[in-house]
Amino acid sequence: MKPLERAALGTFAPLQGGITHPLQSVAHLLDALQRLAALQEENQRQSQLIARLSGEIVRLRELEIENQQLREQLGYQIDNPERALLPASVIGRDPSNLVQSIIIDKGSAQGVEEGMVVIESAGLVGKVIGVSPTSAKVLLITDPRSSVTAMIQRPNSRAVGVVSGQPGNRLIMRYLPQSEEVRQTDLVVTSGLGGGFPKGLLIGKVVEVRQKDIEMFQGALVETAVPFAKLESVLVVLDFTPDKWD
Amino acid sequence: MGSYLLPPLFLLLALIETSLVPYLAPLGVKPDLLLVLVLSIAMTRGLGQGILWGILAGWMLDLLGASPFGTHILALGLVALLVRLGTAGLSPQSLLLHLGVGFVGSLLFYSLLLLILELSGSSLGWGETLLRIALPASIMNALLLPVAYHLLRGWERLWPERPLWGRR
Repeated sequence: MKPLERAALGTFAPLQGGITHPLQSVAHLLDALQRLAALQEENQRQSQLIARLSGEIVRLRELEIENQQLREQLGYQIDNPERALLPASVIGRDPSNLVQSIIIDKGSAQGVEEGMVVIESAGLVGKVIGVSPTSAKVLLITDPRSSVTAMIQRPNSRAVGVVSGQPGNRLIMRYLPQSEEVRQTDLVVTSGLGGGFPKGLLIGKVVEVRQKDIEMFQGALVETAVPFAKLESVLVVLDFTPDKWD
Repeated sequence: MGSYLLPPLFLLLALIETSLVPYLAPLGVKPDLLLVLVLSIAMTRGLGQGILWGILAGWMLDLLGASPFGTHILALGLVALLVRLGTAGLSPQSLLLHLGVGFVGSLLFYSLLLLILELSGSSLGWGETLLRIALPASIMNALLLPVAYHLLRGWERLWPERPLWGRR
């Protein structure tokens, strides 16, 4: 049978090859099409996973920032254990370019009252001027209507003046006696005089001294310690009641 | 129909002005969305509607802001009146008119705001305020006004109606 088998093999093999090769190509094509569909499915799954993970990354970054802010607030509370502080988030800003105020998400239901002082871990923010049960309006110290009695924080110069807001989120310190020395980079803090604000809260840093011999007082431009343009969270001082002058 | 949808639109713009716009302010100065809308309405819908919507927009801004109540009501109402009187008879389609009204109307608005705030006891430096705040804001508002005008015209085509009162 071996010769017969050999003859059959030799005769039919080319025929088999002629049929198999094209069919193999078709089979490869069909296989590729099947894999294409599977690849598209896999691609879609991976795209969804990437989108989900990207959203997760954004959320984690936000949590990281919030964590940092809360640590700063907690650090401030730890450094000032005698103060009762209520954390609040900034939920709105004044619509006018001439008025500087913010709206926070805590109100009378959480113990906030008109006149309470608002601070941030970096320094003084402002004062509560209006309250609802769930929110409060805060007038910032950069508002032109705001006035804070302040002093230069240097051992040999405790010059006292008044800090008020200027257009463009700037502060100016007025009524500094001509006899007092004021320098650039001097820190400016609340003096406590008048009872409107607690003593010792950081307001900012002197960036320019305006002194003319012919004037009665000298002045200084002050750069704020608090980054008002990026303010997102604040602390309301619950246990300080400003003095009221009738 | 269109006019009845304006109050919620005004409220939406007021909320956007207090929450989103401050964070998008180039050089620290925000555009005044409601002022731009009121100027467009004053130009297109006449004196009565201009003043009415100016007062409504001012009321919303005063409620959400910290300026003395009535500041924006007075300022927006007056600026709508002055703009309408100043543009009566002029073709409202002109781009130059839009830019001019946006710029001059905004400067007028800021001047009125400053005056009202001064009369209520706030001391703001006129020169610095006009230079640092009013001028950049007026330029921004002037660039926004043609956009607001065309959006308003589109709105009116969608909901054509007789004006509440006042002539076009």
